[in-house]
Amino acid sequence: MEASLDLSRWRDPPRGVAYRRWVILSTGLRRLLRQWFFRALLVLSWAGAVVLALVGFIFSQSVGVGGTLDQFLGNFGPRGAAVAATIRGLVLLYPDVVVNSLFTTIFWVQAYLGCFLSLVALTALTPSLVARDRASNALTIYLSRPLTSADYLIGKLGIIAGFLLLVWTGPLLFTWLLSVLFASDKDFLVYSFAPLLRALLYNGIAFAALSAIALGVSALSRSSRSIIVIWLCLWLVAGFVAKVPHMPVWMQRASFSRDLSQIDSEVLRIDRALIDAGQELPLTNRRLAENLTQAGDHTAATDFGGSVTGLAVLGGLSILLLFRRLKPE
Amino acid sequence: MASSPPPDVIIEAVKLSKSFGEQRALSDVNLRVPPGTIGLLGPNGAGKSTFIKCLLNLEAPTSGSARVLNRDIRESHRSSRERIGYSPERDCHIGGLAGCEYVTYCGQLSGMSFRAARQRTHEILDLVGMGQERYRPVDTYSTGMRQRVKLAQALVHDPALVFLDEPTNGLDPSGREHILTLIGSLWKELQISVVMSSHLLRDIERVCDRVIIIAHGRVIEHDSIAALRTRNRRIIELTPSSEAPRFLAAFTQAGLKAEPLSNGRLRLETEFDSIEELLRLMQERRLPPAEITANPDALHELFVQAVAGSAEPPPLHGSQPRS
Amino acid sequence: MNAVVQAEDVSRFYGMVLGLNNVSFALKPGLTGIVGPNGAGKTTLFRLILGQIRPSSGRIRVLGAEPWNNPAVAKRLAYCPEGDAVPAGLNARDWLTGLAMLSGRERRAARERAAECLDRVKLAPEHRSKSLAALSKGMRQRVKLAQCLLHDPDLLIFDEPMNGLDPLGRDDFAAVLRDLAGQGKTVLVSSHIVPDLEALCAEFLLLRWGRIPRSLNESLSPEARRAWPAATTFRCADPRQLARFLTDEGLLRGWDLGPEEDRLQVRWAEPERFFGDFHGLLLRSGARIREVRHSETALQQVLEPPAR
Repeated sequence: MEASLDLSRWRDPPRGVAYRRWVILSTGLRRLLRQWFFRALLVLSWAGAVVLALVGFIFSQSVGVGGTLDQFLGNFGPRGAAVAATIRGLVLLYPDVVVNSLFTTIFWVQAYLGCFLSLVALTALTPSLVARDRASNALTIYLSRPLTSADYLIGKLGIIAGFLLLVWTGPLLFTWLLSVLFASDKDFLVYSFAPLLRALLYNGIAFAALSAIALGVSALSRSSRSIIVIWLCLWLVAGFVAKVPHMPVWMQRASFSRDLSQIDSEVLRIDRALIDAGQELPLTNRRLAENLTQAGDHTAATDFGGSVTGLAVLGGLSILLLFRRLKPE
Repeated sequence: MASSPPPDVIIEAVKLSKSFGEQRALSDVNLRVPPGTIGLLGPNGAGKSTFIKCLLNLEAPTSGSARVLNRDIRESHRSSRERIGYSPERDCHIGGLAGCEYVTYCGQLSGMSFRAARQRTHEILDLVGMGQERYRPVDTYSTGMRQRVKLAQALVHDPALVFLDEPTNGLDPSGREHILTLIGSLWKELQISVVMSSHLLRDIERVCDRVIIIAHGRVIEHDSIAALRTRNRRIIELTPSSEAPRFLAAFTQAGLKAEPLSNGRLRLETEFDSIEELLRLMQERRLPPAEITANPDALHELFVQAVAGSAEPPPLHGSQPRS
Repeated sequence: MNAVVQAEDVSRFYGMVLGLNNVSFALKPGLTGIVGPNGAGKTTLFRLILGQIRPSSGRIRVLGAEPWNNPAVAKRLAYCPEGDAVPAGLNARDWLTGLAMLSGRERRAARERAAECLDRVKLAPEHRSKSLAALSKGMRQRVKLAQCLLHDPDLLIFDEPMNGLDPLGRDDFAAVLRDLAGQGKTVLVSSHIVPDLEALCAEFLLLRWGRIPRSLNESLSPEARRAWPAATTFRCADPRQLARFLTDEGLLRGWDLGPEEDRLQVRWAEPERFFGDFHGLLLRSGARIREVRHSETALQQVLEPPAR
């Protein structure tokens, strides 16, 4: 017989629960990031962030006396210089409206991009959350270790959170930071802070809702393909149905993408931004002012309360489903 | 936790019961199990797997309590499983990982640092006989490989107690041999207690020093193998090297109850402790040499008797260990 | 006696992949155990015998005829494979009745035959009307066995038949197999569990890498097993005394006291002399001997893994 039991022993104290949850999170996230698909999504979202950041940066840099905007428009002769002076004046006179509206718009675009990319990511991610583990009876292995189902879920939630942080929140903060860094005027910092907070709030609401729904969907079946189909139905098909005119309200609320866009509009207050811009700014171009006001009215949230309820219901059902299905066998 | 001597009692159950609706899977199980290699037997559906699952908190007991390695399973919910390993009967694994990644992950989930887990992983994979396959995803493994990796994840965190459910399932004879030898040496060389549940009584006899039989949700036997051997009637199995019919004739003539088996052997019942009488008889009749084995199926007989006897509602034994 | 299955230089390849490579053997009625590691060619062997595939070269004859495309032979064969696939939605009784009808019986006779076979495999009546998918693994094994008995075949092949059965179930199954052998049928049993095979069968066929290694199979034949072993294990009241006695007689090359306190393992220097006076020597030793057996059964020896 070989001297086979010449093993090292492990007698260190085992690390705590927080470490073990972290292990689930980090291993899952690492596996994710090894796949080209998710890396591509990250590249897209950060590219978008860079573009938006540049917009904000150029704006904040240029609209100061002697700034690049002055110089740039000065090239177009006295008319250009006048326009530059107007813009500067507007910013000086109505910092809250201009900065606020601009950053609200930037963050609104960013949120749209971030949300969309997150949804695409979740389409590919949902099967590997719970469905695959259920198919290979992995829960027995997890739960025979010093872990509970709660730890398992926290770890999985962490994977979603981690990825959403990388694909949405991170770019958001980057956009803001780059725009206001080196700004010539502290007005930029002050008046862009509120839109930032609102964008973060929306981010948080979306994360809570989407992760609950994703986990619930993931528990519906053991087959990866079914999960992807179900998720796409809930997202695209329900979203499409909700846009069809004269749909009953509850059906519209059942589409989480529609709910999210409603909440988006309400939280970020893009409508207020546009309306304020149209009404308060002394714009000489009446048409522009009217267009802005109309755009604002158009994007106003009509059913905020209902959307929140809709999301809450979807999220709640998912969690219930999850706990029922999360048994080790 | 410094290297402490093994506890006196590794499993302690007090009136442990589990019902699934109306069906009682376990009824008032009382046990005190000392460390060592323990075999867990019972007919299908008797409650063996349920018992293990209750101890691991994979099923919540309906009533009663249990302590494993001196930690109550309900109070110390998670920490009661810190030094336990489990290799289930079914195919269980975490998909999408390579073999060594999977076992390392499992080690970390038990609280090991990455480096410690990685080191132990490769040692344990060597131990269970896995070679280069460890770098391939577990989903591509054959049944035998999956069995080995299941054992590896049960052992990677250096547990004090492992539960093994049908550990040789799917392995070919040399694999079975290897794993059985490994299991037999876990207690002797590493002081890792083993609770092995299997239908293969020969394996249990070979590897375990103590046996628990569960039938109809109750513990009906709990004793050491040595003691069990002495409790049975003496059966001798003879494998004649040649001229088997003459053996049969000789024994029948001498008044012994001899029964020929389908594999060419003979089975006798006798009261004597040694085989002198038989040897004398064989010498008298000038019979050729033969292999003589005593009580080859002791555990099997005990099992059959015990299960048959337990068909009556009240259990006969209180399940305290006899030795 | 005419061999039930006769194979001469049979090979079967799947493209480049090896199934069986130039094997020859003859199988007689009774119980034969088939052993070999995974990938050794057992499934290929069964499929060749059953006529499901043809050999790439060589000849195989089953019950006196070629099995390929031969319904006359096929209806005298039965196969109980390892897998667990059962038709969903049927219960045991209906499934077997249907199969019996497929073999040509009309409904009433088929039903009776099905019940008879289910009795023989000891499947309790309350389980017979349950859906097959709801039965435990052990019960499904019994149903599989009953399937094989329906048409009263002459040659039956079982692949890991006792998987999932508890010891009582194994007993029942083994009893049925022995019964069949006693009736003169030919039963082939393939299993990884060597003790099961040793308890059942007297004849073995060892496969390794698609071949039947002649030397190894010869050492499994009844003649070879009569050769004296090189090592023997004793269990007695005083092993040291026995060891001393045997050493004094000059019979041993070496001895070890075993893990249990009554166990002695010896290696013979002169096995013929010992076994020539087997009874006399043991009685003279004065040790109260309880057991004498080969340290390893022939099958175990042959299956010892070569150095990895």
